[in-house]
Amino acid sequence: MSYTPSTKTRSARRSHRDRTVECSEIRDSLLRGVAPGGASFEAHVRSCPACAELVAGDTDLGQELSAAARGGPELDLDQLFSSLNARVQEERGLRAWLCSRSTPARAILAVSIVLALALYQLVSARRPDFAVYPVPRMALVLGVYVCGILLSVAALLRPLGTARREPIALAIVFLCLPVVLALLPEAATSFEPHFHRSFTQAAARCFFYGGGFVASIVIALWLLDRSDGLARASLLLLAACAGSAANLLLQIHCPNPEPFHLIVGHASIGFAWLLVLAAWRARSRA
Amino acid sequence: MVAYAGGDSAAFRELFQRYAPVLLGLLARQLRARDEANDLLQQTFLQLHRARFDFDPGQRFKPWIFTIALNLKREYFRRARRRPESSLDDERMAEPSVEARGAMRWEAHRDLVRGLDKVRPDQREVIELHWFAGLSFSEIGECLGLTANAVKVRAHRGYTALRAALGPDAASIPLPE
Repeated sequence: MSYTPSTKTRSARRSHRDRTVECSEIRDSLLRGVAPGGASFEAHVRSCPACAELVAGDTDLGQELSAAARGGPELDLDQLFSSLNARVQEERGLRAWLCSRSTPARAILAVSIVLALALYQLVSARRPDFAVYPVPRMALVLGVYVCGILLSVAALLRPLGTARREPIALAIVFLCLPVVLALLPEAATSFEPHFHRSFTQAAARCFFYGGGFVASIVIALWLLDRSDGLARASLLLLAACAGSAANLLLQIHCPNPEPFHLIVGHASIGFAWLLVLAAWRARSRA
Repeated sequence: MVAYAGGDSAAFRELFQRYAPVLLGLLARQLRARDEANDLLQQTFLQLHRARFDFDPGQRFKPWIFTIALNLKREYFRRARRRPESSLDDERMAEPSVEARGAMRWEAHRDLVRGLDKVRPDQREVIELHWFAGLSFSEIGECLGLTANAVKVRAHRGYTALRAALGPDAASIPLPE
Protein backbone atom coordinates (compact mmCIF):
# COMPACT_ATOMS: atom_id res chain seq x y z
CA MET A 1 0.00 0.00 0.00
CA SER A 2 1.53 3.35 -1.00
CA TYR A 3 1.51 6.28 1.42
CA THR A 4 0.00 9.47 0.19
CA PRO A 5 0.72 12.46 2.34
CA SER A 6 -2.36 14.41 3.33
CA THR A 7 -3.05 17.75 1.68
CA LYS A 8 -2.57 19.44 5.00
CA THR A 9 0.89 17.99 5.40
CA ARG A 10 1.86 18.97 1.84
CA SER A 11 0.75 22.57 2.28
CA ALA A 12 2.42 22.77 5.68
CA ARG A 13 5.65 21.53 4.15
CA ARG A 14 5.26 24.00 1.31
CA SER A 15 4.73 26.95 3.68
CA HIS A 16 7.76 25.90 5.75
CA ARG A 17 9.94 25.76 2.64
CA ASP A 18 8.69 29.13 1.44
CA ARG A 19 9.20 30.91 4.81
CA THR A 20 11.78 33.68 4.55
CA VAL A 21 14.19 34.24 7.40
CA GLU A 22 14.98 37.79 8.51
CA CYS A 23 18.39 39.03 9.67
CA SER A 24 16.89 39.78 13.10
CA GLU A 25 15.90 36.10 13.54
CA ILE A 26 19.47 34.99 12.95
CA ARG A 27 20.73 37.57 15.40
CA ASP A 28 18.18 36.58 18.03
CA SER A 29 19.02 32.87 17.61
CA LEU A 30 22.71 33.55 18.12
CA LEU A 31 21.99 35.70 21.17
CA ARG A 32 19.99 32.81 22.67
CA GLY A 33 22.96 30.52 22.02
CA VAL A 34 21.11 28.53 19.35
CA ALA A 35 22.92 27.89 16.09
CA PRO A 36 20.37 28.59 13.34
CA GLY A 37 19.81 25.99 10.64
CA GLY A 38 17.44 24.76 8.00
CA ALA A 39 16.81 25.40 4.33
CA SER A 40 15.34 28.88 4.87
CA PHE A 41 18.30 29.92 6.97
CA GLU A 42 20.78 28.63 4.37
CA ALA A 43 18.93 30.43 1.60
CA HIS A 44 19.09 33.66 3.59
CA VAL A 45 22.80 33.29 4.37
CA ARG A 46 23.52 32.76 0.67
CA SER A 47 21.87 36.10 -0.12
CA CYS A 48 22.98 38.15 2.92
CA PRO A 49 26.75 38.67 3.24
CA ALA A 50 26.43 40.29 6.70
CA CYS A 51 24.67 37.26 8.20
CA ALA A 52 27.09 34.97 6.35
CA GLU A 53 29.96 36.60 8.27
CA LEU A 54 28.16 36.09 11.58
CA VAL A 55 27.74 32.35 11.03
CA ALA A 56 30.99 31.68 9.15
CA GLY A 57 33.32 29.08 10.60
CA ASP A 58 31.31 27.55 13.41
CA THR A 59 29.33 30.74 14.11
CA ASP A 60 32.59 32.01 15.65
CA LEU A 61 31.83 35.68 15.36
CA GLY A 62 28.20 35.24 16.42
CA GLN A 63 29.31 33.44 19.58
CA GLU A 64 31.89 36.10 20.45
CA LEU A 65 29.33 38.85 19.97
CA SER A 66 26.76 36.97 22.03
CA ALA A 67 29.22 36.46 24.88
CA ALA A 68 30.12 40.16 24.84
CA ALA A 69 26.47 41.17 24.76
CA ARG A 70 25.95 39.31 28.04
CA GLY A 71 28.99 40.99 29.59
CA GLY A 72 29.48 44.56 30.70
CA PRO A 73 28.88 46.26 34.04
CA GLU A 74 25.63 46.39 35.98
CA LEU A 75 23.50 49.51 35.70
CA ASP A 76 21.94 51.56 38.45
CA LEU A 77 18.94 52.77 36.46
CA ASP A 78 17.16 54.32 39.42
CA GLN A 79 20.07 56.57 40.26
CA LEU A 80 20.54 57.52 36.61
CA PHE A 81 16.86 58.31 36.24
CA SER A 82 16.68 60.42 39.36
CA SER A 83 19.57 62.64 38.25
CA LEU A 84 18.00 62.88 34.77
CA ASN A 85 14.67 63.80 36.30
CA ALA A 86 16.36 66.54 38.32
CA ARG A 87 17.75 68.01 35.09
CA VAL A 88 14.34 67.82 33.42
CA GLN A 89 12.72 69.59 36.38
CA GLU A 90 15.25 72.43 35.97
CA GLU A 91 13.92 73.04 32.44
CA ARG A 92 11.94 76.15 33.27
CA GLY A 93 11.74 79.67 31.95
CA LEU A 94 11.53 81.31 28.55
CA ARG A 95 14.37 79.40 26.90
CA ALA A 96 13.07 76.02 28.06
CA TRP A 97 9.58 76.87 26.78
CA LEU A 98 10.81 78.17 23.44
CA CYS A 99 13.16 75.31 22.63
CA SER A 100 10.52 72.73 23.49
CA ARG A 101 8.18 74.09 20.78
CA SER A 102 7.98 71.99 17.65
CA THR A 103 10.58 72.65 14.95
CA PRO A 104 8.11 74.25 12.49
CA ALA A 105 6.93 76.63 15.25
CA ARG A 106 10.52 77.57 16.13
CA ALA A 107 11.42 78.17 12.49
CA ILE A 108 8.34 80.32 11.90
CA LEU A 109 9.17 82.39 14.97
CA ALA A 110 12.75 82.97 13.83
CA VAL A 111 11.78 83.89 10.28
CA SER A 112 8.99 86.16 11.54
CA ILE A 113 11.51 88.29 13.39
CA VAL A 114 13.54 88.74 10.20
CA LEU A 115 10.37 89.53 8.28
CA ALA A 116 9.30 92.12 10.84
CA LEU A 117 12.67 93.87 10.69
CA ALA A 118 12.63 93.82 6.88
CA LEU A 119 9.13 95.28 6.81
CA TYR A 120 10.21 98.00 9.21
CA GLN A 121 13.05 98.92 6.84
CA LEU A 122 10.70 98.93 3.85
CA VAL A 123 8.11 101.13 5.53
CA SER A 124 10.22 103.49 7.64
CA ALA A 125 13.85 103.39 6.51
CA ARG A 126 13.86 102.59 2.82
CA ARG A 127 16.83 103.72 0.70
CA PRO A 128 16.11 106.97 -1.21
CA ASP A 129 16.71 105.34 -4.61
CA PHE A 130 14.39 102.39 -3.93
CA ALA A 131 11.86 103.49 -6.55
CA VAL A 132 14.45 103.69 -9.35
CA TYR A 133 16.67 100.76 -8.36
CA PRO A 134 16.58 97.96 -10.97
CA VAL A 135 14.00 95.41 -9.83
CA PRO A 136 15.81 92.28 -11.15
CA ARG A 137 19.01 93.29 -9.33
CA MET A 138 17.14 94.01 -6.09
CA ALA A 139 15.23 90.71 -6.38
CA LEU A 140 18.48 88.79 -6.99
CA VAL A 141 20.32 90.28 -4.04
CA LEU A 142 17.38 90.02 -1.65
CA GLY A 143 16.67 86.49 -2.89
CA VAL A 144 20.23 85.37 -2.14
CA TYR A 145 20.07 86.75 1.38
CA VAL A 146 16.62 85.24 1.99
CA CYS A 147 18.02 81.84 0.92
CA GLY A 148 20.94 82.30 3.30
CA ILE A 149 18.59 83.09 6.17
CA LEU A 150 16.17 80.24 5.47
CA LEU A 151 18.86 77.58 4.98
CA SER A 152 20.81 78.71 8.05
CA VAL A 153 17.68 78.69 10.21
CA ALA A 154 16.65 75.26 8.87
CA ALA A 155 20.10 73.78 9.55
CA LEU A 156 20.41 75.42 12.98
CA LEU A 157 17.00 74.35 14.24
CA ARG A 158 17.04 70.90 12.64
CA PRO A 159 16.10 68.41 15.35
CA LEU A 160 18.63 65.91 16.65
CA GLY A 161 16.25 63.06 15.84
CA THR A 162 17.06 63.32 12.14
CA ALA A 163 20.26 62.05 10.54
CA ARG A 164 22.44 65.09 9.97
CA ARG A 165 25.84 66.11 8.78
CA GLU A 166 27.73 69.19 9.89
CA PRO A 167 26.69 71.90 7.37
CA ILE A 168 29.93 73.82 7.79
CA ALA A 169 30.43 74.33 4.06
CA LEU A 170 26.94 75.81 3.76
CA ALA A 171 27.60 78.22 6.61
CA ILE A 172 30.92 79.38 5.15
CA VAL A 173 29.32 79.95 1.72
CA PHE A 174 26.61 82.18 3.16
CA LEU A 175 29.09 83.98 5.39
CA CYS A 176 31.17 84.89 2.32
CA LEU A 177 28.31 85.60 -0.12
CA PRO A 178 27.90 89.27 0.91
CA VAL A 179 31.55 89.83 -0.05
CA VAL A 180 30.93 88.28 -3.47
CA LEU A 181 27.81 90.36 -4.05
CA ALA A 182 29.69 93.52 -3.01
CA LEU A 183 32.14 92.94 -5.85
CA LEU A 184 29.43 92.80 -8.53
CA PRO A 185 29.33 95.80 -10.92
CA GLU A 186 27.24 98.66 -9.53
CA ALA A 187 23.60 98.71 -10.57
CA ALA A 188 22.81 101.37 -13.17
CA THR A 189 20.31 103.86 -11.77
CA SER A 190 19.40 107.48 -12.42
CA PHE A 191 19.89 108.30 -8.74
CA GLU A 192 22.76 110.64 -7.93
CA PRO A 193 23.91 109.80 -4.42
CA HIS A 194 25.28 112.54 -2.16
CA PHE A 195 27.15 111.19 0.83
CA HIS A 196 28.10 113.76 3.42
CA ARG A 197 29.98 111.42 5.74
CA SER A 198 33.55 110.25 5.40
CA PHE A 199 34.19 106.67 4.36
CA THR A 200 34.93 105.60 7.92
CA GLN A 201 31.85 107.28 9.36
CA ALA A 202 29.57 105.85 6.67
CA ALA A 203 30.96 102.31 7.01
CA ALA A 204 30.81 102.43 10.82
CA ARG A 205 27.23 103.71 10.72
CA CYS A 206 26.09 100.84 8.48
CA PHE A 207 28.13 98.31 10.45
CA PHE A 208 26.56 99.18 13.80
CA TYR A 209 23.10 99.81 12.31
CA GLY A 210 22.92 96.41 10.62
CA GLY A 211 24.86 94.55 13.31
CA GLY A 212 22.68 96.01 16.07
CA PHE A 213 19.42 95.19 14.34
CA VAL A 214 20.32 91.52 13.92
CA ALA A 215 21.21 91.15 17.60
CA SER A 216 17.53 90.38 18.15
CA ILE A 217 17.75 87.57 15.57
CA VAL A 218 20.90 86.13 17.14
CA ILE A 219 19.33 86.18 20.60
CA ALA A 220 16.10 84.62 19.30
CA LEU A 221 17.97 81.81 17.53
CA TRP A 222 20.05 81.13 20.63
CA LEU A 223 16.87 80.87 22.70
CA LEU A 224 15.28 78.54 20.15
CA ASP A 225 18.34 76.28 19.78
CA ARG A 226 18.00 73.08 21.83
CA SER A 227 21.69 72.34 22.23
CA ASP A 228 23.60 73.10 25.43
CA GLY A 229 26.49 75.30 24.40
CA LEU A 230 27.23 76.27 20.80
CA ALA A 231 28.72 73.56 18.64
CA ARG A 232 31.16 74.67 15.96
CA ALA A 233 28.60 74.21 13.16
CA SER A 234 25.94 76.12 15.15
CA LEU A 235 28.37 78.98 15.69
CA LEU A 236 29.01 79.30 11.95
CA LEU A 237 25.33 78.98 11.08
CA LEU A 238 24.34 81.67 13.57
CA ALA A 239 26.98 84.02 12.18
CA ALA A 240 25.93 83.24 8.58
CA CYS A 241 22.29 83.91 9.44
CA ALA A 242 23.19 87.16 11.20
CA GLY A 243 25.31 88.26 8.24
CA SER A 244 22.61 87.43 5.69
CA ALA A 245 19.92 89.18 7.74
CA ALA A 246 22.06 92.29 8.30
CA ASN A 247 22.91 92.52 4.59
CA LEU A 248 19.24 92.02 3.67
CA LEU A 249 18.24 94.93 5.90
CA LEU A 250 21.07 97.14 4.65
CA GLN A 251 20.28 96.34 1.01
CA ILE A 252 16.80 97.81 1.66
CA HIS A 253 18.19 100.74 3.67
CA CYS A 254 21.57 101.88 2.33
CA PRO A 255 22.00 103.48 -1.15
CA ASN A 256 25.81 103.49 -1.16
CA PRO A 257 26.92 101.19 -4.02
CA GLU A 258 30.65 101.57 -3.51
CA PRO A 259 32.21 98.04 -3.19
CA PHE A 260 34.65 98.94 -0.44
CA HIS A 261 31.84 100.45 1.62
CA LEU A 262 29.72 97.30 1.08
CA ILE A 263 32.54 95.02 2.21
CA VAL A 264 33.60 97.00 5.27
CA GLY A 265 30.22 98.31 6.39
CA HIS A 266 27.89 95.48 5.34
CA ALA A 267 29.62 92.17 4.52
CA SER A 268 31.89 92.27 7.58
CA ILE A 269 28.91 92.07 9.97
CA GLY A 270 28.66 88.27 9.67
CA PHE A 271 32.35 87.88 10.48
CA ALA A 272 32.07 90.28 13.40
CA TRP A 273 29.23 88.25 14.86
CA LEU A 274 31.32 85.10 14.35
CA LEU A 275 34.07 86.61 16.50
CA VAL A 276 31.61 87.77 19.16
CA LEU A 277 29.93 84.35 19.36
CA ALA A 278 33.26 82.51 19.41
CA ALA A 279 34.50 84.71 22.25
CA TRP A 280 31.28 84.17 24.18
CA ARG A 281 31.51 80.40 23.67
CA ALA A 282 35.15 80.30 24.78
CA ARG A 283 34.31 82.30 27.90
CA SER A 284 31.32 80.16 28.81
CA ARG A 285 33.38 76.95 28.46
CA ALA A 286 36.34 78.27 30.46
CA MET B 1 6.23 58.76 23.39
CA VAL B 2 2.87 60.07 22.28
CA ALA B 3 1.65 59.69 25.87
CA TYR B 4 4.63 61.64 27.15
CA ALA B 5 4.08 64.44 24.65
CA GLY B 6 0.48 64.51 25.88
CA GLY B 7 1.66 65.16 29.45
CA ASP B 8 1.93 61.64 30.92
CA SER B 9 5.11 61.91 33.01
CA ALA B 10 5.08 58.20 33.94
CA ALA B 11 5.59 57.45 30.26
CA PHE B 12 9.00 59.18 30.43
CA ARG B 13 10.19 56.78 33.10
CA GLU B 14 8.94 53.84 31.11
CA LEU B 15 10.81 55.03 28.01
CA PHE B 16 13.94 55.43 30.10
CA GLN B 17 13.72 51.96 31.60
CA ARG B 18 13.12 50.41 28.20
CA TYR B 19 15.86 52.14 26.22
CA ALA B 20 18.48 53.40 28.69
CA PRO B 21 20.31 50.05 29.11
CA VAL B 22 20.84 49.56 25.37
CA LEU B 23 21.74 53.22 24.80
CA LEU B 24 24.17 53.24 27.70
CA GLY B 25 25.84 50.08 26.40
CA LEU B 26 26.23 51.70 22.98
CA LEU B 27 27.75 54.86 24.47
CA ALA B 28 29.88 53.15 27.11
CA ARG B 29 31.59 50.86 24.58
CA GLN B 30 32.86 53.87 22.66
CA LEU B 31 33.36 56.50 25.33
CA ARG B 32 34.93 54.17 27.91
CA ALA B 33 34.69 56.67 30.79
CA ARG B 34 31.43 55.69 32.51
CA ASP B 35 30.53 59.10 33.85
CA GLU B 36 30.82 60.61 30.36
CA ALA B 37 28.65 57.84 28.94
CA ASN B 38 26.12 58.46 31.74
CA ASP B 39 26.16 62.17 30.95
CA LEU B 40 25.56 61.58 27.24
CA LEU B 41 22.73 59.19 28.10
CA GLN B 42 21.11 61.89 30.20
CA GLN B 43 21.61 64.44 27.43
CA THR B 44 19.88 62.04 25.02
CA PHE B 45 16.79 61.87 27.20
CA LEU B 46 16.95 65.59 27.89
CA GLN B 47 16.88 66.20 24.13
CA LEU B 48 14.01 63.74 23.89
CA HIS B 49 12.17 65.83 26.48
CA ARG B 50 12.87 69.06 24.56
CA ALA B 51 11.85 67.53 21.24
CA ARG B 52 8.72 65.76 22.51
CA PHE B 53 6.42 67.88 20.32
CA ASP B 54 8.51 67.05 17.26
CA PHE B 55 7.81 63.32 17.47
CA ASP B 56 5.52 62.17 14.68
CA PRO B 57 3.23 59.37 15.94
CA GLY B 58 3.59 57.66 12.58
CA GLN B 59 7.37 57.31 12.83
CA ARG B 60 9.28 54.59 14.63
CA PHE B 61 10.55 55.61 18.05
CA LYS B 62 13.64 53.40 18.28
CA PRO B 63 15.52 54.86 15.28
CA TRP B 64 14.52 58.34 16.46
CA ILE B 65 16.04 58.07 19.90
CA PHE B 66 19.13 56.28 18.59
CA THR B 67 19.65 59.07 16.06
CA ILE B 68 19.61 61.60 18.91
CA ALA B 69 22.20 59.56 20.82
CA LEU B 70 24.42 59.15 17.76
CA ASN B 71 24.34 62.87 16.94
CA LEU B 72 25.27 63.73 20.52
CA LYS B 73 28.04 61.14 20.49
CA ARG B 74 29.49 62.59 17.26
CA GLU B 75 29.45 66.09 18.73
CA TYR B 76 31.20 64.76 21.83
CA PHE B 77 33.99 63.25 19.74
CA ARG B 78 34.35 66.44 17.66
CA ARG B 79 34.88 68.43 20.87
CA ALA B 80 37.18 65.78 22.32
CA ARG B 81 39.47 65.91 19.28
CA ARG B 82 39.81 69.64 19.65
CA ARG B 83 40.77 69.41 23.34
CA PRO B 84 44.52 68.55 23.53
CA GLU B 85 44.27 66.90 26.94
CA SER B 86 41.65 64.34 25.91
CA SER B 87 42.66 60.86 25.03
CA LEU B 88 40.54 58.35 23.22
CA ASP B 89 42.89 55.44 23.44
CA ASP B 90 42.40 52.10 25.11
CA GLU B 91 43.90 53.24 28.43
CA ARG B 92 40.71 55.14 29.24
CA MET B 93 38.68 51.98 29.52
CA ALA B 94 37.40 52.18 33.06
CA GLU B 95 37.19 49.20 35.31
CA PRO B 96 33.57 48.46 36.11
CA SER B 97 32.49 50.49 39.07
CA VAL B 98 30.04 47.84 40.15
CA GLU B 99 30.34 44.08 40.32
CA ALA B 100 30.61 42.56 36.85
CA ARG B 101 28.28 39.69 36.13
CA GLY B 102 31.23 37.39 35.79
CA ALA B 103 34.92 37.80 35.19
CA MET B 104 34.82 35.75 31.99
CA ARG B 105 31.91 37.72 30.57
CA TRP B 106 33.71 40.97 31.36
CA GLU B 107 36.83 39.63 29.60
CA ALA B 108 34.74 38.73 26.55
CA HIS B 109 33.18 42.18 26.60
CA ARG B 110 36.55 43.90 26.86
CA ASP B 111 38.15 41.76 24.14
CA LEU B 112 35.28 42.55 21.82
CA VAL B 113 35.59 46.27 22.50
CA ARG B 114 39.28 46.07 21.65
CA GLY B 115 38.35 44.25 18.46
CA LEU B 116 35.77 46.91 17.61
CA ASP B 117 38.47 49.56 17.98
CA LYS B 118 40.16 48.07 14.93
CA VAL B 119 37.06 48.40 12.77
CA ARG B 120 36.40 51.58 10.81
CA PRO B 121 34.13 53.97 12.81
CA ASP B 122 31.30 53.98 10.24
CA GLN B 123 31.27 50.17 10.09
CA ARG B 124 31.55 49.89 13.85
CA GLU B 125 28.53 52.14 14.25
CA VAL B 126 26.46 49.77 12.10
CA ILE B 127 27.62 46.74 14.11
CA GLU B 128 26.73 48.48 17.37
CA LEU B 129 23.26 49.37 16.12
CA HIS B 130 22.58 46.04 14.46
CA TRP B 131 23.98 43.62 16.99
CA PHE B 132 23.83 45.33 20.37
CA ALA B 133 20.88 47.65 19.85
CA GLY B 134 18.89 45.19 17.74
CA LEU B 135 17.88 47.67 15.05
CA SER B 136 16.95 46.33 11.61
CA PHE B 137 18.97 47.46 8.62
CA SER B 138 16.18 49.78 7.51
CA GLU B 139 16.01 51.34 10.99
CA ILE B 140 19.79 51.81 10.96
CA GLY B 141 19.41 53.47 7.57
CA GLU B 142 16.95 55.93 9.14
CA CYS B 143 19.43 56.74 11.90
CA LEU B 144 22.35 57.28 9.54
CA GLY B 145 20.58 58.76 6.53
CA LEU B 146 21.46 55.76 4.33
CA THR B 147 19.56 53.16 2.33
CA ALA B 148 19.11 49.70 3.83
CA ASN B 149 21.38 48.23 1.13
CA ALA B 150 24.17 50.67 1.97
CA VAL B 151 23.82 49.68 5.63
CA LYS B 152 24.04 45.97 4.72
CA VAL B 153 27.26 46.59 2.80
CA ARG B 154 28.76 48.40 5.78
CA ALA B 155 27.59 45.63 8.11
CA HIS B 156 29.19 42.96 5.94
CA ARG B 157 32.49 44.81 5.76
CA GLY B 158 32.36 45.58 9.45
CA TYR B 159 31.72 41.97 10.49
CA THR B 160 34.50 40.80 8.16
CA ALA B 161 36.92 43.28 9.73
CA LEU B 162 35.78 42.32 13.23
CA ARG B 163 36.32 38.60 12.55
CA ALA B 164 39.85 39.40 11.43
CA ALA B 165 40.39 41.65 14.47
CA LEU B 166 39.29 38.88 16.86
CA GLY B 167 41.26 36.20 15.03
CA PRO B 168 44.71 34.80 15.80
CA ASP B 169 46.48 37.54 13.80
CA ALA B 170 44.63 40.34 15.60
CA ALA B 171 47.77 41.84 17.16
CA SER B 172 49.17 42.81 13.77
CA ILE B 173 46.06 44.76 12.74
CA PRO B 174 46.50 48.52 13.29
CA LEU B 175 43.88 50.90 14.62
CA PRO B 176 42.00 52.81 11.90
CA GLU B 177 43.00 56.45 11.16
